[in-house]
Amino acid sequence: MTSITALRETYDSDFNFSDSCAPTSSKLELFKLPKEQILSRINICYPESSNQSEEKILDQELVTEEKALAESGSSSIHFLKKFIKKPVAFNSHLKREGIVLSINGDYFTARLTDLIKDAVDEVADFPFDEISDDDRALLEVGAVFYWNIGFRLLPSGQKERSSLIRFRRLPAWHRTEIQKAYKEADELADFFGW
Amino acid sequence: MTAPSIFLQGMNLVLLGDFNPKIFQPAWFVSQNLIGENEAESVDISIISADIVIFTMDWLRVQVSRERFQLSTTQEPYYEMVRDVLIGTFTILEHTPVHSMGVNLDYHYRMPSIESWHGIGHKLAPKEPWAGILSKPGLTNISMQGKRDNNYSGMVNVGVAPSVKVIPGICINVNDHYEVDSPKNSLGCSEMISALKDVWPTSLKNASSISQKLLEII
Repeated sequence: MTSITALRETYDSDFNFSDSCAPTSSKLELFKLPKEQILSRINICYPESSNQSEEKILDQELVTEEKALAESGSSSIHFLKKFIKKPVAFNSHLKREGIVLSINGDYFTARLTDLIKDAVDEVADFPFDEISDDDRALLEVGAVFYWNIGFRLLPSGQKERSSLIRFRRLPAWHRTEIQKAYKEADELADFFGW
Repeated sequence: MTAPSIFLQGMNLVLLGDFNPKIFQPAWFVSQNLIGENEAESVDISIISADIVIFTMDWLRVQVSRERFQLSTTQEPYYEMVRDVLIGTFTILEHTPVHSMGVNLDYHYRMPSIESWHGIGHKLAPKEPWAGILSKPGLTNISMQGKRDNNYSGMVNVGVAPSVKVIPGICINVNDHYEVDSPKNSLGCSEMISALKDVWPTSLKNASSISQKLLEII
């Protein structure tokens, strides 16, 4: 099996709050791996949309190339690009729970309750296009959904305003739950003398 | 000075009890209409065995062993969806013995400077008592436990550590832990599921409030 000398960048992981343990710079590590493994790693290392990250990494590699060659004593080194897997975060500014009031031609009307702060309920219309194919089957009068608007932080560092509607998926009411609800209703009725 | 900014947050819901991992396969969740059919096609299955099941979707990670059932997400808009998957699952499997539950929130904050990053460590764990004991002591993790202001058994655990997701950053973890009142007499999981329905909004608000107050000590 063909193996290739490759260079990868690793980070010290033992930093902490101490002044003496501030994040240190990355260190270079030379190692050998099967050729196929390295090639597959290179193929997945950059998402298509992350040009900015790629340029940054390439700059780092150019700076370190000379050092790596000197350390390895080899004239042929394949540089293993770092696999950047930044988390895609989504932080909501608006978070509401809706209940479907009516379904019309190509939209539905819902009452919205704010889940972040106390506010008066609102009524709004939503086009069917906002619903995923999976959730379309859940659309019916009385169905509950969650509506989030916020910013999605992309791997490239860009922010993207995003709106997300997802319908609640809960199993049908269980027989014992219905019986329990009837019992509580009867108790309340007795209490109020109805 | 710039304020710390939220970089990433996540939630995991944990049940402790007695589970049969093999049940919790993606196809089962689809058959019970707890996740969508199309979503299930993009599931990344790590392992499915008699002892452990781990699979991941865009917004959900499922990990089940014989003693532990855990649902996680790093997508804040999906918190309610994750909660619903858990409630739905154990409404169907109502006889599954569950004795404890954790509502866990993680907040990763990017700190505006290295100085403010160290500042949190110095405030939470002053270095003076360590003089002469350790050379250049540094805080790697701190945990505090407190009581909760409701009628449920359990406690609130808060951990603060350097973030491994963002540098310089900190990770604040809030574990809202619940236990059944009488484990020996507890049957099924209805007590913990009812508790989750009841405490959900309060638990999330408290966790957010705790993380905000900790940041204010800077």
